[in-house]
Amino acid sequence: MKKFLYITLAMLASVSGVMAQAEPTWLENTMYASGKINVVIGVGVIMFLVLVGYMVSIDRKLKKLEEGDK
Amino acid sequence: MWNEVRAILAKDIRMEWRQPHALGSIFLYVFASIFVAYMGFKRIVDVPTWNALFWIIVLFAAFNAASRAFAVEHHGRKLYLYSIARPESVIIGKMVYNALLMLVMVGAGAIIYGVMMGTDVLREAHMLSFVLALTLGAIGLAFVLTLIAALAAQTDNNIGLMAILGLPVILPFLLILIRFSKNAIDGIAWSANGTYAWQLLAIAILSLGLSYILFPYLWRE
Amino acid sequence: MSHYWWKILSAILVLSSIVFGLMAPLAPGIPFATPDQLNNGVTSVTVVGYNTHFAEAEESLQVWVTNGDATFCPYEVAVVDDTHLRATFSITEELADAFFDLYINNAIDGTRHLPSAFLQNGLEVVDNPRPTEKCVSDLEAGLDAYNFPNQPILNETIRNLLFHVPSWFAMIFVMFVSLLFSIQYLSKGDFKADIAATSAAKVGLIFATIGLATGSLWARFTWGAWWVSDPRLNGAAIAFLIYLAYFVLRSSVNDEEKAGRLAGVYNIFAFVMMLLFVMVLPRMSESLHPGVGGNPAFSQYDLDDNLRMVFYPAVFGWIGMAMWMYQLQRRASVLAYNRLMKLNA
Repeated sequence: MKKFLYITLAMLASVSGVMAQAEPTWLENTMYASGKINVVIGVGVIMFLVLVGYMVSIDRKLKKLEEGDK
Repeated sequence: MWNEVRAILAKDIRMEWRQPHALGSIFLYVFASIFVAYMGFKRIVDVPTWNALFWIIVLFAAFNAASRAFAVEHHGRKLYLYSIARPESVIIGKMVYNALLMLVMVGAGAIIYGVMMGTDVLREAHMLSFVLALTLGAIGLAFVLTLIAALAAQTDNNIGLMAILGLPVILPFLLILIRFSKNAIDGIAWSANGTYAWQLLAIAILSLGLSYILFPYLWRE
Repeated sequence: MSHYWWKILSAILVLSSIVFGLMAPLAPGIPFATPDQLNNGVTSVTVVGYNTHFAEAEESLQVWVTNGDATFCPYEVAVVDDTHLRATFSITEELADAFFDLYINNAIDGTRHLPSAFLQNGLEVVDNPRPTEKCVSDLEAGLDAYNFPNQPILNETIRNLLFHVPSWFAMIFVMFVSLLFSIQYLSKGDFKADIAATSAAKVGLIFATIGLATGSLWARFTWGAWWVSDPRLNGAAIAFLIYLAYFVLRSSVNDEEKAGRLAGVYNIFAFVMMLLFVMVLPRMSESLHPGVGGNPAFSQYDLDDNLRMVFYPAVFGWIGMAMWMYQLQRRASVLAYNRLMKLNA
């Protein structure tokens, strides 16, 4: 089971590796560099953006309530 | 309770006989979509395609059939139903009726589909499993979609909401069903394929129980 | 202050999971070796390490490959720098298996390996090969330091486990809260329960969005595609669709009381169906779908205590943050509802 997983992963990796060699786009160059640390940064940025979007929605809701007060 | 269920079932079947064009329209829908598929594909020898296309046609037919179950009851008749039967009996009656309808439709659909698309793929099939897939598929689709139909019937946008609400809920069932039926067609033994059948049965029974509990809250008005 | 304690606690947990999750170094590892084939005869390969100390610990360096029953050591190893070395193998034996794992041991890094690093090419594969001589001896244990496991392919992205996975936990948790309030609304008819259920579902949808977006990015640079067909991914997509449908249903009914009733019924029905699909089915189907399907991730990482020490606080922290967000949403919605009632009266 574990061996099968490794083999599958290795094949996936070699496929993506071959693809990267065929046409290394700027995105792949960036993301695969330094142990793929930029993927982690990307994940952090996505979380931050979605949470900010949520705060904006709450903000607008409260603003509507405050305007009703006047 | 069972008397009420039987009464509602009998009423639905009688109504269906009195308006054969309504029932006919669903069968025409099945036939027309199989024919359209036939025009597109001619003969399908590839098992996954044959199998998936069949269930997709059945799925949309099931949506059509289920959404009729409550839409046909106009307001006056709803009140009448409400006065003679408990809501639990109404939903069980409707589910059983839908299941019967779907069984007939899947059976007829499978025959028409086989005639048009060719039955070459079934040569090595585990026939008992395949028939079980047809049966469980018909019953399960009917059971899951009946409550969704009851929900959608309460809103103004019946047809559109039926698809939006129904698709994500039916998708797990459909995925397992397609896998089970594909394995049956491939001739995979019951010992390896039986789990899927139990899963389908579990979902069908679960939706029966949930509908029984939840429907009274929809019926209250 | 007493009302804030769990909010402060969850903020601290999340903050510490971010700090420790990003600061902890990754264990030494071997991301890849090129070419990925061993030929019959002499093959020279370049091995690339990550956070390794090939040059610093050159005296104790040992390199070998194994396919389970046969082990071979290179006859020449040339260290380029801390993360690069060239090894030259000469293999002419008969073998039982085609895949070789690569192992490297030294005094600083301990033993590191790359599973299935090489595929044999042109070697003779037989059922019962002769056993090979043991060419490895006196392995070093390596230095004991706090670090995260360096999995092949995942590499640094293993840190995403601390962001991506807790967002799913948080989603399931607030969806469960939403379910409870839906049940309460149906049985008691209390309008506040309906508002609570809606608010929780809204927060759940936000965390589902986070989970889907981060998961997609992660998958693209590890599995090679933005989306792969896997029971768990499909389950996540279905959960997302179900709660979108929940809000469509709400907005399509004008009568508040009726909308709450219909949405409550759908919430309960859909939640049970979703739970069945996300939690139960992938596990039951696993025997037929090994490998990347199912959820291989946890069984591997579960063993690593270093990661677990940060992972659990992250889960609880994010659940707390989700509850905080839910509370804000609910309080704003209750205010809006009260205002509406006052205006109507």
